[in-house]
Amino acid sequence: MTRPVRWRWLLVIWLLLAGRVWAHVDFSTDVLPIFAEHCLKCHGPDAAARQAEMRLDRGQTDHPLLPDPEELLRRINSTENDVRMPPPGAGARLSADDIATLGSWVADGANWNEHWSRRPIRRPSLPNHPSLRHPVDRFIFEASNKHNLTMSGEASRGDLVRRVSYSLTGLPPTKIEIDRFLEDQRSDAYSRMVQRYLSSSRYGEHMATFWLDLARYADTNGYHVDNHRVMWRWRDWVVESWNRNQPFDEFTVHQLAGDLLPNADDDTRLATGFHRNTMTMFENGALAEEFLPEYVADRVNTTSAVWLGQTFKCARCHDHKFDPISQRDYYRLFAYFNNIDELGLSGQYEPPKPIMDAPTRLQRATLVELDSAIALQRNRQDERRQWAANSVEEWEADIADLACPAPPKDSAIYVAFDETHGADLGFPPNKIGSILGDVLRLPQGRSGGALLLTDSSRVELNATPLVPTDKSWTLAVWLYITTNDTMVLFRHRATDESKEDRLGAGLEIQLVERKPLLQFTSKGRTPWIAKSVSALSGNAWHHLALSYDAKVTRVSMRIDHDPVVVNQPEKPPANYQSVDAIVALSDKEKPLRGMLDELRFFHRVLTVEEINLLMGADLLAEVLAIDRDERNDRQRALLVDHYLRRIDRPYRAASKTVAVLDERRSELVRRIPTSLIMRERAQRRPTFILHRGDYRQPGEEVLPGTPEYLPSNGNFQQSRLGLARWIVSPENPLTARVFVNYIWRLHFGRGLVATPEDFGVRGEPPTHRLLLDWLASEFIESGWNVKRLHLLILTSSTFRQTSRVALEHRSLDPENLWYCRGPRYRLSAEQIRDTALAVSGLLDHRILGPSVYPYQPPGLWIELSYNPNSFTAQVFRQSHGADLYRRSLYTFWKRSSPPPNMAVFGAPTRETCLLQRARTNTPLQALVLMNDPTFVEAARLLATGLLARQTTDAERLKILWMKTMSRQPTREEIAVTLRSLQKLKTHYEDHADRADQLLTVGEYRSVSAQSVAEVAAWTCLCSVVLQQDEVLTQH
Amino acid sequence: MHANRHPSYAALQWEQSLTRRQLLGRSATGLGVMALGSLLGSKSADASAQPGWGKAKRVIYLVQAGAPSQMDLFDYKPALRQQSGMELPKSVRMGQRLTSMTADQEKKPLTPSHFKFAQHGNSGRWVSELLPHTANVVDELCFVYSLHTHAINHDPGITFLQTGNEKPGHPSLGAWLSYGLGSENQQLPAYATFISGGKPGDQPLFDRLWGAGFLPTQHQGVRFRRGCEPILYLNNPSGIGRDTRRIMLDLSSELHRFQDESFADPEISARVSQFELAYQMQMAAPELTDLSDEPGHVLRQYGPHVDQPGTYAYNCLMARRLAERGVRFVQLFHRGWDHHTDLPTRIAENCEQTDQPSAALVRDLRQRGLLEDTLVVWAGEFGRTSYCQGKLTANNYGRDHHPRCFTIWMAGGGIRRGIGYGATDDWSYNISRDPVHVHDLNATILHALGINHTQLTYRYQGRDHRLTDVHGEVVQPLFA
Repeated sequence: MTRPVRWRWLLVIWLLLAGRVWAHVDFSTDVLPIFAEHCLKCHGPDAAARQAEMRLDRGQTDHPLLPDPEELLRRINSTENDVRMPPPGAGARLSADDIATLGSWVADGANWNEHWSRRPIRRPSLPNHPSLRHPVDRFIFEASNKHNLTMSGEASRGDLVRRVSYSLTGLPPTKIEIDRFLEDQRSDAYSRMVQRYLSSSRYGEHMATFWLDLARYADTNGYHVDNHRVMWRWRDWVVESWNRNQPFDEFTVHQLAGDLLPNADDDTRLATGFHRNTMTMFENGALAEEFLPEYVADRVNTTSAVWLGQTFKCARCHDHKFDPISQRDYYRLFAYFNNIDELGLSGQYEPPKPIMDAPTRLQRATLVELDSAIALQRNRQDERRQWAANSVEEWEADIADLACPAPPKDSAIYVAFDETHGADLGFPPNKIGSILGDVLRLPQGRSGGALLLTDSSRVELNATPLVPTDKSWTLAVWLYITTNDTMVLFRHRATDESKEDRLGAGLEIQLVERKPLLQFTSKGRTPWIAKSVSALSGNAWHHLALSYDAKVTRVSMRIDHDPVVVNQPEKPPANYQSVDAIVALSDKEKPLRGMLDELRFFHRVLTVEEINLLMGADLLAEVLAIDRDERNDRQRALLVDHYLRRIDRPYRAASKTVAVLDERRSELVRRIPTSLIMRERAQRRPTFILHRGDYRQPGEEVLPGTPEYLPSNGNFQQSRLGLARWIVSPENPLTARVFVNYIWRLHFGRGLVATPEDFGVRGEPPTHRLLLDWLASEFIESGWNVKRLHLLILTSSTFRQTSRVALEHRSLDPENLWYCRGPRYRLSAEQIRDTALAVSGLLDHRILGPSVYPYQPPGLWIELSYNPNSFTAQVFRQSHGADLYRRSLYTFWKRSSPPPNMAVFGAPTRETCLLQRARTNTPLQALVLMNDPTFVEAARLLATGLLARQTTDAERLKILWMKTMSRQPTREEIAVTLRSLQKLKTHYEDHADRADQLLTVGEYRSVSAQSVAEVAAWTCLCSVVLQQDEVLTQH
Repeated sequence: MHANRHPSYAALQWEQSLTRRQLLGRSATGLGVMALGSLLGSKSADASAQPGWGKAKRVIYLVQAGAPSQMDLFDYKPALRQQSGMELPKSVRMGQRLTSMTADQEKKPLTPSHFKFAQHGNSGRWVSELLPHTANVVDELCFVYSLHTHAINHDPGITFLQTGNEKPGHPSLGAWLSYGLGSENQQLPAYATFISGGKPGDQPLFDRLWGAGFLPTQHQGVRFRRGCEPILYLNNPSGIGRDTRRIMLDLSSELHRFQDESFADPEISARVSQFELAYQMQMAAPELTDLSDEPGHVLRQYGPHVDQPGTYAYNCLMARRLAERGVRFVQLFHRGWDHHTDLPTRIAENCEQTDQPSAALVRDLRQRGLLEDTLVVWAGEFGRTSYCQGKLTANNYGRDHHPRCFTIWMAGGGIRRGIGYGATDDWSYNISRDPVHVHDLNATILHALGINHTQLTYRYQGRDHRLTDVHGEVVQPLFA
């Protein structure tokens, strides 16, 4: 038993050398970071890289892989190359401080405990400082006291209302808001003010901005061509969720698995767009099997980063080096997201599937309104029909003289199939087409000859009727088919392979199991298909009339003269470019078997009478000739139909109304935005552990499961829904800690954990661990009530301190780690732009809606673009009017070229999940503030607004300061500013042309009774004020 | 205006009182100078003893976006001529993956270059007739015939070349340099990028290619643009002259002084400096683009397009002018090298646009003595297949993407002159000698700049990230 004695001796020496007092050392915050820095690469969680079967990161004292503490100290302290740790070449020796810390820890008994972020969240008791009422203050006070710091006094009321306004809405307070607070003498005036901002709809927009970075939301597909994707309805869902204070656990579950909820609805499905914000690829030549796993990996990385405070990225290729995340854990998490019904390559011409229609609330309401109005009219029609059927004698005479003898003559194509000249249809020079393939015969048809086609013959017509999807048309033909095979009747579609981008754009009419079918096709898009439910009977002549009504994008078909039910997509077909294609009858692969006669094509929709006439019969006259009592049901219905549609006033009025309503409805449906969503595949896609993350090297198959190092999810289903519920279960130690840290950062500019992206052993430990835990448990107990969490933090004295830096703080706590003064940090890119718009009165106050295109320098997109003719979002088309002045979160976000005036202020590309933006301070930012038309225009509007007031310049400055800084200017500031103003006025009086030019910047026209020189000078002045650090800073 | 080493100078001064550990934890503030300090730590002593260490002060990187065909420009393969039209042997392809454009193409006929090759200079490097000007400077160049990468598509390929990672989110080489070395000239950006070419169908580019990834955004490349405003938002609005701007900035400084007194936050004086820098940049940028001081014989070297902003020639001249002004990293992107079809005519067009300016740049730098400490790199994101994409005819062919070997050249900055390094097989399909991975290239570029690539790290999400990930070997034989 001599060894322990010896090492205790050594320990005392180390401690003396290090000059350290014997202090309590916590394994997870003090020791583990040292191990992480120096040891875990070889003695950590990565089993493959582990040396000497030793592992230093696990908390369980009985862990078999623990080293002997004495041996550990001996090794790190040794100077012998074959003894020392880390070994030469593997890393530098530990510092004396680190060695001393380890020494203290060993002397304390070498207690191992779980890393702080993975311990269960237990509500700590409040520090005992009875003079402090607010729990947050008690924790803060206790820590600052330890560091010999004193807390600062309360900020001015003007500063407070400004601070809260920015913290909760991202906007400066209005004059009314300031006055309301300043005039409120009640003792709870402050918390009332906070409540007011919490109930503002601007709150949801501000919170959404923070969430969009995490969610990597953007309006383009991201990879390669980076074309447009419609996703703003998901963004609006986020804004509204924050505004209605949806509990964070529910907010989470809806976004991760809203489609799988037992009571899933359109709203919860829309929410799942969170994980469809992944970028998608469709570059020519790319491999689907390579990119599909990328989308899933992005979801794993994002989920772990956003909710678990740690990326699992490293574990894609191997066990994590520092945190106990195994590669197996990674792929088990991967398996939850590997079953989305999506494609590896998608998004080229239509949104990457799966998608849903996501009508806005207004659209939904209008649709209901229209549908009931249409139903009302249809009811009236039904009533009239009933009446007409029962009172034939009253009107039969009226229809007797309805004559319509001649069939319509305005067809664009008419082939009678009565004559042929060799392979030509019709005699040259009036040749209307050519017969290809087998010799054809013209047997007796419905009218004169008919065309008999075999499986090796087809016809190409010389006609080239251009039929884009916004033009109506009708095809009418007699058909006699002999088989059930799929056959092409009529095709007008490009097949020229050299015209790569246009291949296959056009329309095609087929018979599938004798059912007529129309499809619009366009390369890369899913065909748009309208299909009859009824079939033609085989080996008999039938007349088929097929119309496409572009106004309501509806296909109607009549077989003989009977209308048939047609199934077609609710959405209109996508437009395709007209092509110089030929019209073909039949097809090599899908030949038409049977006979054709009397084929006509019209550039309009035909009436039923006209179709009847084309059938070669005036059915009306035929029926009328039959004795009233001897007519069958069909014949009676035919007469009623004629009467109603051609004579009966109430019926005709209703028809007219229905037509108008139908058109409006179809216009509305056309405008319904879609949104990308998650939907499970019917058949589970298996997940394999991929060797080194390579999709070509699948290993063992794994099932979905939560990480082993975190409390098990035994009670949850092995589905995405189970995962989502596990994430927000109170037993999960991370989610609540991670989220309250986001909110703390939102208000103080820095998290209690300074590395929100890393709650692992290499992240910064929390400055106030107990406060973090207290807030987290409070948050969970409140039912994940986010607004309540804001209120809790914002009502603390800690938040209400002045931001002015006291001299002692400057040296003792330059970073404000101990919160002994109020927050002070630069506003975000969005806030800076929104501030300029708000104070100048330009801000457009509409909430939600499609993304907009405010000013940006010309040419930025097209210089990078692939092919502006073939793809969306390749050329920037600026908005005009109110859309120029919407809040910045509504700005169209192109991932390969994000809004430049926001990017310089740290706005990300949104290609991947980002947890905190850098707050830089650069000359390029200065250039934006000086020269971007956004800011120059705002300055001009601010100027004209001030000049419209009948008052002195000094008074105007007071208004300006109040608007932009929520305070009065000092006497010195007024003096200095007025002096410069005078210089500027003199300058512009001497250079009226320059003044004129300056006032043309920006599209908003403003008028001022003042001289242009006056306005120009004030514009410059306001521009300077908008550049002030105080304006650009939360404080 | 005080001498400002770094955009966040004032903040940095204040940070001197912080411990290094705290600093490393602060991912939000720029660390250029600090990072440099750590790079010159103990380990770099070993590396500095090796040839080439720190010979380069700056880099001009000529990115030939779209991937030029190596065997039509530099990698001379006479054996392909005998096998023209024959099938690419299975023993050569070895089942490697191909893009979906040619994976299912029934025949993969071997396709020799239509262009004549000859040996040039004292070094006798083979160059195709497409590049007569480059052929004239081969004795300055170091060809690497054995570059290789993983990606088979442009997006991941060029993202990898630029950031050392195929997927978005990582800093570009230039951003790493800005972070690691800071800037020599505060009046111009530390990292400048230029774009030329770009017809419909040319491969697209993305901001991430010069982005800062997870580094603070100030390190991202600044896009220099054609036209009267070379840097975004550089010009004063119409009606505000330089005199007016001065009045405005003076007022701004005075007002900021009051705020400084009130808040005592060093960010305030830092903000004032940024405005002053912006004001200087407004002067410096027009001086940069004003070519009136360039003698005619210099301009003529760069070819007929040199005076047209937005051309590759113009951008090459800009690169030299920026190098002279101490800008650390200039990167040119020339679009249009993606020749799946009609390669013979299209590659000729691209060479016509780029050959003379590239050669002129090297010569011009040499004449000014700048080539000693300026590293020039010419590279695309990958190579092209030696078999034909589509139908091989007597006069026409195309080539698909090929990551397994491609040719680049380097010059200056301590790189050996007139050599060739590495070799490919008779089909220019596989590397037969001395492979150089893109990570190795990046490690080599950093080495030339005096940076040990394993030491230039940034902690993000708990990991110390590197440009070269966990790979990369400096290619020592490339250095003189």
